[in-house]
Amino acid sequence: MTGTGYAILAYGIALSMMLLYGLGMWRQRRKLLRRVQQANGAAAADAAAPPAREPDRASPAATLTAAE
Amino acid sequence: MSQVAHIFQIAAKDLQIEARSRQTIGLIIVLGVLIVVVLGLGLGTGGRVEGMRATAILWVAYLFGGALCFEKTMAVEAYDGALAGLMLAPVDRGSIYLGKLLANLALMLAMALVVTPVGVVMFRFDLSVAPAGFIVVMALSMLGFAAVGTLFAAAVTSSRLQGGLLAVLIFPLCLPLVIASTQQMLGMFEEGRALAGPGLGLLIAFDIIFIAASWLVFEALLEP
Amino acid sequence: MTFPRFLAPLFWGATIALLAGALLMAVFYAPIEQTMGPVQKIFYLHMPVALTTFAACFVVFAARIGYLWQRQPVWDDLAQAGDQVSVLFASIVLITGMIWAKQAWGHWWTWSPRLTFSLILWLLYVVYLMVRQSIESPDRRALVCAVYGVIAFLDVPLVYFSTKLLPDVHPASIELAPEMRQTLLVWLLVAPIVCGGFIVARYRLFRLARATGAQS
Repeated sequence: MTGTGYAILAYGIALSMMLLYGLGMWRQRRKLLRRVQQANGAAAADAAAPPAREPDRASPAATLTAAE
Repeated sequence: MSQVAHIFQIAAKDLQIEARSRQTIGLIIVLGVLIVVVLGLGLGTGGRVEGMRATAILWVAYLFGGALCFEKTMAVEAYDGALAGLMLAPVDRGSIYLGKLLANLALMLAMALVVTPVGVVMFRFDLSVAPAGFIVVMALSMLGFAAVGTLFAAAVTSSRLQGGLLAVLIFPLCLPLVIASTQQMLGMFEEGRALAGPGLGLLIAFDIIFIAASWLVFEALLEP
Repeated sequence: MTFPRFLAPLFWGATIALLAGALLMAVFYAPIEQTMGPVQKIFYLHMPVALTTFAACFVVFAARIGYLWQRQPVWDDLAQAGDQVSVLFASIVLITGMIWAKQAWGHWWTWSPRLTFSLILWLLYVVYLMVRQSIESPDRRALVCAVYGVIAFLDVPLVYFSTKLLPDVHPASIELAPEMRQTLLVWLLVAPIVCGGFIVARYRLFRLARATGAQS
């Protein structure tokens, strides 16, 4: 390999490593932000939706009190 | 004055524990000898590594034996709440470090007393050129290694970790010791230079800096 | 640290443009050095990145001291970010150093002071990353990393002087023509900007992960 080839190799490796690291961080950031959005969305949905599970949870207690 | 007494008491305690079972010392001596033998065989018997180069093999033996030694002397504190007891006692935490350091040094010395002659003989290292220089350089190197090792043994043992982590932690830190002592040996044995030199200065600086730093920081690492 | 939303793309856009400019300068503007040939141009990358790595190591050291002093997770996050970037940049220094060695002296490796120093520095900070993985409790991990960080930084001058004891292969000192000096200056500007940008970005990522309770 010629001198120029080595120089290209060096710059190429260095810049690719930096690029990969930067891209990795960018992807990680998007993933985390998406998770934040989902968590916010779920929290909003929980507040809005009617408590559908109440009747189920109430029934064992209800049967108990009825038995008493 | 009592601090100094504490240091010796702690060292004595560790060495007494060791004297009863003789487990650690036995292990590290055998490990050291085995390393020398393996390297002797692996490097070929045609005298390819001879004379002063034997110090490299001794280093490998000391490094691995030492890492094992430091782990075990610190692990002693993990049983029966010994560490909690030690911390409740009115002992300066730095003194605990120095006491442990002394104990580790004693054990390393015992190991070196066996392993070094084995290495010297197997690799035909002629010490007569600078016997005092050899001892001084090796002793200073071992002191520096033990200083770093004792500190990080406390860091590593209090958590449940896989083995080998201590070695990974301390070997890179101790590379200056290896470089300085080897270059100093080269100067003394192959070029006939005197003991005093930049290598020796570096060893002394390493020892002072790391004993002081570890002494200050040790307390932060202890946890009951 | 919350920044206005346009700041990150602006910063990185500008940085990439600067980087491209620096690269063009190194390729076309700087002349080819007589004794070493084109491979000498690695110098414009290697030297600034090496200096920057050292600065990043100092950031880690300061952050670790900050943790030992205040025990706040912010310091640990900053130190971790600095450490990752240090390893990245130290790897670049090592690799470019080895490529230069191969072309200049025919071997990928020699135990010369400079190469050995880059190797040991790299090892010191890679071990750091591994320690991180091996300890479960976050407080303990931060503490052990902090102690290691301080000790490792104290070790650096000792490593430097001990590698000076090693026999040197060829002392490489070259005369810098004005164009070369200018190219070098541009790279000396680019490298810390990229490094600082990475550290800040990684730090913000750690903070974000901590806020969402996720692993980063």
